[in-house]
Amino acid sequence: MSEERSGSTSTQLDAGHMLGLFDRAGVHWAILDRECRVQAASPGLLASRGPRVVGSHCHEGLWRRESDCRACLIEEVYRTGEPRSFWVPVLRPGALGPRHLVHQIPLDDGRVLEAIVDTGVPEQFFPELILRERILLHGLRRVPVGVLLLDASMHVVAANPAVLAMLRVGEEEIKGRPLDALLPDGALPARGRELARLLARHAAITDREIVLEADGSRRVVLASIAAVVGRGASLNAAVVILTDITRERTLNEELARKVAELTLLREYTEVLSHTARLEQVLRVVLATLVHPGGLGLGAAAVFLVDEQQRRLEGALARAGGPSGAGVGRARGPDLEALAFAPASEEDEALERRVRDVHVPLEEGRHPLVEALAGDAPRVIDAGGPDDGIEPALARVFGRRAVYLVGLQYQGRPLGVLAGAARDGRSEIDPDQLSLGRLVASTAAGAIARAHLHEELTGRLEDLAEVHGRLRHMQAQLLREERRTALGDLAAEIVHQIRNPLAVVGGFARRIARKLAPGDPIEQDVRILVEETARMESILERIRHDVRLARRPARVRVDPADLVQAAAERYRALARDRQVSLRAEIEPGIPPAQGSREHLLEVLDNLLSNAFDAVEPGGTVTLRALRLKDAVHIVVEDDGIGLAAEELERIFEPSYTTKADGTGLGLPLARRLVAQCGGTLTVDSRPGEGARFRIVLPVWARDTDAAERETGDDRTEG
Amino acid sequence: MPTILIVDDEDNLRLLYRKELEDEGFEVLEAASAEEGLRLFEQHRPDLVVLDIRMPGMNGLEAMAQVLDRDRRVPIVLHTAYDSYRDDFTSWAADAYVTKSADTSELVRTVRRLLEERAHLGPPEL
Repeated sequence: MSEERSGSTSTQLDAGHMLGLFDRAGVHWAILDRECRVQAASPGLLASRGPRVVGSHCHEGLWRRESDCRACLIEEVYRTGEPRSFWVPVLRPGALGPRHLVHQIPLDDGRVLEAIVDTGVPEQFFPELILRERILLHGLRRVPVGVLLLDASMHVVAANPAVLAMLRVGEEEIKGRPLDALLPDGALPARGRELARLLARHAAITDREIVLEADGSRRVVLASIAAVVGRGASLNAAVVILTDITRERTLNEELARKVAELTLLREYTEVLSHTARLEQVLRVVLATLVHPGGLGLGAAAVFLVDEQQRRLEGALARAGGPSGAGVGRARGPDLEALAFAPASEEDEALERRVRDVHVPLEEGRHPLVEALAGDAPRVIDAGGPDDGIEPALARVFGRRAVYLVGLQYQGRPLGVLAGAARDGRSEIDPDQLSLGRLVASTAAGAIARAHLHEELTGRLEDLAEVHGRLRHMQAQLLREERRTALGDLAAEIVHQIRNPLAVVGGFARRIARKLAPGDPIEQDVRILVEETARMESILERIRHDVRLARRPARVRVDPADLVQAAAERYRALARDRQVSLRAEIEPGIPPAQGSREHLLEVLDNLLSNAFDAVEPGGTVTLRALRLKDAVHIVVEDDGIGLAAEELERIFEPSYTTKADGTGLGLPLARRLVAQCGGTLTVDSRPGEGARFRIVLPVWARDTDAAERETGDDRTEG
Repeated sequence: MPTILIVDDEDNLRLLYRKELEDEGFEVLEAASAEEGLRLFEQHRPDLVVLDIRMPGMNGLEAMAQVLDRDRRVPIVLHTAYDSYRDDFTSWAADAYVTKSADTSELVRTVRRLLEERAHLGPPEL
């Protein structure tokens, strides 16, 4: 048998895997030949015994016992081909001793692997502990590394006490049990036969993290399996090493959670410190409550005190992420991004339900009102129908544990923060209540500050309005000044041109008068006279415009007086032309904003046009009426009317280029009305007369009028 | 033949008005400034004064006041390119306000009218 086995390199390789596992687990090992001579040793043994341990007999180099090797009974392992485990008998201090557990495993090539597990019992106890099995077992429980030896069918052959403790089984129970029965489903990549096949192929499985749950306790272990593989990839045996990392893992998780909490809190206070508006403050608070790095609630809402209504009103709400998301070590999303992320449908539905909550502050037994008054967080457990959850809260959050904490600032109750556990969890982790309390107290301060900010913003807006008015007035004054300066310049130009023009024209007239009829230059001189006359009329019009433009146009004007005065001027013409001129003034019409002088010019112009348009027997009507906040002055005739294309063009300056000397034209009329802050429009159809409409603001206080004089006043430029 | 004093600092305009008024049969005195005008007024006691308003030195309105100090009944025509002085109450003492133009007919009409009105009122006070 031994000769047949000796050539198998694959087995050596498999043993190598196992030895690596032993090294990692802190298990000493040696490989012994049939003569009990050490062929190879673990690095730990090489270090402590020196390199000469290799080649020595086990009792010399390994056990340091001056006797033969019968003690180690290795012959038995060779004979039976079965692995064997035993405690090292008492030797002497500094050598292997009773704290060591030895496993002897026959290898495929005929050698024996001896694995020596240090159980950790202190050496100074050796004299006392010799053969005291009870105390020995006590010491063994402290061994961190569990070792299970398995046979080819993956059944337990031997186990050390550490394994028994990890798996919570007795030594008698565990022997002969399949590995599958000891570990939870899915802990290893395969079960039973399939696992054996896998191990035979790959020789080892390393560092599988397994959660062992029994009797309410939870342990996390790292499992590695090394296989002893025989010829034809048949599995001879396997060693399972279990390392308990529960404490390490728990500490890590705890640490990660604390770090996440602290990070979140820091972020929370930082975001709040640059958030001023109430709604934004509340959004940040809610995001902190549902953030997976903090309380990780399934839903959060804020209720605010309305002091005037004496009610607690639902304000805003935020649903948590999907169940389980972010639980654990995840750092979670950026708080500010989470706070101002667009609301999901779930958020909106929740917020609608929250906004439906209105609780009078007098309802002292309502949990929200109770939470408002108290300063400690409350958790209401949603166990069943009689759990005391107020129907309003159940309607909002469903049947879940609800966490309530009052928001108070300097003794003044501001509102209540409410959070619901994540779906599927009926309880809120009590450890996190303190975090919630911290969040709430900071939130209360921020909310109080936001209220103050709103108040200040209101006052600032008032100030801004006053400032705006002053700026308008200043702009108006500047415009006024510019208008005056332009007017001065224009008047000066008119004056300067007028005198030489009068000289030229005057002498031209004299020549014209003295020419004999039929003189060849008669036409030349007539042109001279006409053109100077035209220039004078242009100057006159400019002078007139300038004069009006320089006058304040946004003053108080009485529409009734205006209409009567304008009509009066045309009475005589109406009689001459046999036109009926009517003035209709709405009784009690209020004063309008505008200038009598400007508007008389405009009405003069409009009436002149109207009289030109009507036939004898026709009617021209002047009307003054009030519509809403405006005074309308209408000039209406039943004359020839205007075609559509004419309507579009009559206000264009190029359309009225008549050099009539006195006519102002509709463009100027429109400008004059604009100067008054009003509008001039026309409505007409051919054959159906025309209706010109001046719309002016109703005269209000002087400041309002000043304010209106912004932007629309480009007529002087 | 009535004598008319024209006070105007623009030579060509003055020349035009003198010629026009002479054509109408008036005797015309010319002054290029208010000061010269007042001297001529003292010397010749014209029947009517045509005053430009804007002139270097004393302006037409001041000159009018001084003329009226000397003779409260002499007709005075303010003759100017500006009509803004219409709104100046000191100009209200004038008998007429005529805007300068190549068309001198308004000036001539005004002069005739004022002289006729004056004739009805009788001789000047002493």
